[in-house]
Amino acid sequence: MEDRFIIDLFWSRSESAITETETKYGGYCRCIAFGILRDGGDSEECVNDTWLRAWDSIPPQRPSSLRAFLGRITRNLALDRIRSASAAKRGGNIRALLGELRECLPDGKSDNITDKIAVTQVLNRFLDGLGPSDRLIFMRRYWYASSMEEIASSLKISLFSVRKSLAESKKTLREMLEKEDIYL
Amino acid sequence: MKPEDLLNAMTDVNENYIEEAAPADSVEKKKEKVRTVPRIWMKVGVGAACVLLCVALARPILYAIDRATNNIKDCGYGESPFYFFGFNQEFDGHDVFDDPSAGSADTGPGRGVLYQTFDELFDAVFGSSEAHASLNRELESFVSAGEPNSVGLLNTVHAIQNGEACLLEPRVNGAVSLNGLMDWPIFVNTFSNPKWGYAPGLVFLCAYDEAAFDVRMTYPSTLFAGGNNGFEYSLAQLGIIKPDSADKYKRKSVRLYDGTDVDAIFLSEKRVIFYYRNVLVDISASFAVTDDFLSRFGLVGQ
Repeated sequence: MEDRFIIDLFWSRSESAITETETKYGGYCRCIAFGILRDGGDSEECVNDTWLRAWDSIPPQRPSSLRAFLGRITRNLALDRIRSASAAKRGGNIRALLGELRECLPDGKSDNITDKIAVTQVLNRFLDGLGPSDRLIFMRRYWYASSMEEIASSLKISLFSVRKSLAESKKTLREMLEKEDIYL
Repeated sequence: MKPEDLLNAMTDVNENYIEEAAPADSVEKKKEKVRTVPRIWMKVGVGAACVLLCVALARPILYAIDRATNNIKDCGYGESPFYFFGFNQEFDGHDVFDDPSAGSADTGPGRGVLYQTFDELFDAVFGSSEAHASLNRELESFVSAGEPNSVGLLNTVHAIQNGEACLLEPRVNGAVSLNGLMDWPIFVNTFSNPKWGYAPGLVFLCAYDEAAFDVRMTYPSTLFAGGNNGFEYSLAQLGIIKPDSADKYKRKSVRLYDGTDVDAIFLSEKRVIFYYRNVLVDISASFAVTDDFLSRFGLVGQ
């Protein structure tokens, strides 16, 4: 079913909206949740929470991209879950991601209080400047939390290529953040 | 700012990038897995086929390179009398000149003396230039006596002595000079016909051109008992070559018991010499050249 019809179902408060969303985006959202949580049970709960959150958000929202909308919800829920004490023990993948992202943040002292919106804008400019393949790899790693092996396998490239691409992208991001006076 | 903040900020990046990088969902992943299995086997199959092809082609290619680098094909007859007797040091992977004095008791199969010229070879076979000259005189006497095929035979011998390429074709029972007639460089000859009475006992065997092998079979079948494969059969009986290598129409060389393929065997009352590619190797010391041995080829007792 096309996204606009699914959104219409949400707006008409039809419970089949959930069924259709599950059918179309269940796998996608599970993939995001599992990438972050690395646990089947937690991922399933996270996806169910996503449907609930979507039900509460539409209406009033009418997302232009249902996929991205649901993906963001799932990602936020999964990250929230990771932060909780019970799931923290299983957050190895996220810990690795955070370690890698730490490399993107230049050391230094700044009195600036950086808000999330400003950082997102920098990230958008950064992603805009990347080549398509580098952008894809970066997003897979830091948005979808896919492992490097999974990225290499799905894109049919070597692990070395993935590592190289990520290292170069992180270096670029670090330079951009430094220019914007965003420090660790 | 903390790395967590950066990770959270990522959530709200442009949705186009999110869409663009969306991985295949779980259903698609299952399909990919199903497709992966045959792909792997296909790669394994293609790899195995390539290996087999390389193995199959390696020998003929190496042989062709060897022939080409020794300038065999391009060398005109008479231009260089002994052009096809090169100076390869290797004989099936080891140095044939390990013992240049050769003929010693410890010279094993595949090792020995390399004759770089026919003079050397003839001297070794005939023992002296006088014996060599004697052969010529005998041959000439056959010619003058009108012995059938003797003219051709004499021509052949002279051609060999002069380093030219010649062919004795037993099926027509005569010797045919190849000078200028054929462009394949290998000579095949026999001139030890006990029926004709002269017995220098030198047998040249099978230095075939690959392309001409089937149609230009030259073989001393008319000279020895035992049918077409009599000579090789006898060699096999003596333990020099493997019996199963005697099918001359399937093999371009004969195989020794140690697995070595040789292209020709030269026999005399004194010497047994293998011709391998462009190397002549005397392995006489490897086994006894007895009267019994030679008699099987009609080389003595006639």
